[in-house]
Amino acid sequence: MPTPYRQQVTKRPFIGGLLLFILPLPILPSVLSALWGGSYIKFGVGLGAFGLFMLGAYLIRRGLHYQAEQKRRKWARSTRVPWKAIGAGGIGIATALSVLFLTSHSLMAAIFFGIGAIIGCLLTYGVDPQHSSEDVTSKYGVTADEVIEALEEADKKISSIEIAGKSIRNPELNGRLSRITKKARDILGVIEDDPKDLRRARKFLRTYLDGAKRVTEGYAKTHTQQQNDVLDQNFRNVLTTIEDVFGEQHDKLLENNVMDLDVQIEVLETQLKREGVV
Amino acid sequence: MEKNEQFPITLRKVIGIALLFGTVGMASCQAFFGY
Repeated sequence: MPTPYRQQVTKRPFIGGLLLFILPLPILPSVLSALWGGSYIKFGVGLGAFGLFMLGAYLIRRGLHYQAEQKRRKWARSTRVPWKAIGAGGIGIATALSVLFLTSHSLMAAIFFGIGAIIGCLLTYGVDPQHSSEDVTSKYGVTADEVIEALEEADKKISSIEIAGKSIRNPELNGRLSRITKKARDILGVIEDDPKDLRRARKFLRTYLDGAKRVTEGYAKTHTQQQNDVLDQNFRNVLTTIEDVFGEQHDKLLENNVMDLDVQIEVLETQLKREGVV
Repeated sequence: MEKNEQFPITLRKVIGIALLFGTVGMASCQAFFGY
């Protein structure tokens, strides 16, 4: 059973790669003392090496973030940039430069230190994950980026509905709205699980999520200014329709009955047009 | 089974961190003490 899609997760401080920012810190005082002592080459190279350490650490952290995203979600943005490998290379060069210019070691020792640092980075943080974007395209007919884009766009709309819904002080309507957003997330979960449904569902998500978003935001604005029973009833009708449609969409997607779904969408689209939502 | 699979990863990380301390850490400390 697919899990409901949710873009935002509880954020924990991400500590991966922080060690690489801390380890080179003792270089800074020696760089400053080189400046104090008037040895400008040592100062320049030392500062450059320190910058390279920070850049390398940043790139490795970026690679780790990307890897975590890929692990968390079934779909991750395709990137062919090996952030961790580039970061490890930067740290290796920075280490070699520091050893060569800031200590009394030989060139050979500096090279060994550099290689050791690169191996250390790769062993600690691993290599960059492999990509199979082409396989995804041939299997589902859509690219991973298309899937992510559609899911993120839909997720933003659902979040907007949730935000607008908070200003509506009607438990019954709030209940309907939360059922709608939950169902919408379930639908996104189904699409994430089987992106073959995306083409069909994209039309659905545009029409209905946009409609639900517009009508909820519009109602949230106007109902605070004036109490209107007719408006309440219209809003209730629209929500009922949307709730039914979302439920049907979810079931249809699960059944993978795309032909039938298309017809259903057109019928309901006409219905929503009649209600003045789209 | 899973624990056995995770073991090499932990060992790999331990060796990696030791290498980082031995290279990056050592280089920066030696630079600090002007060795």
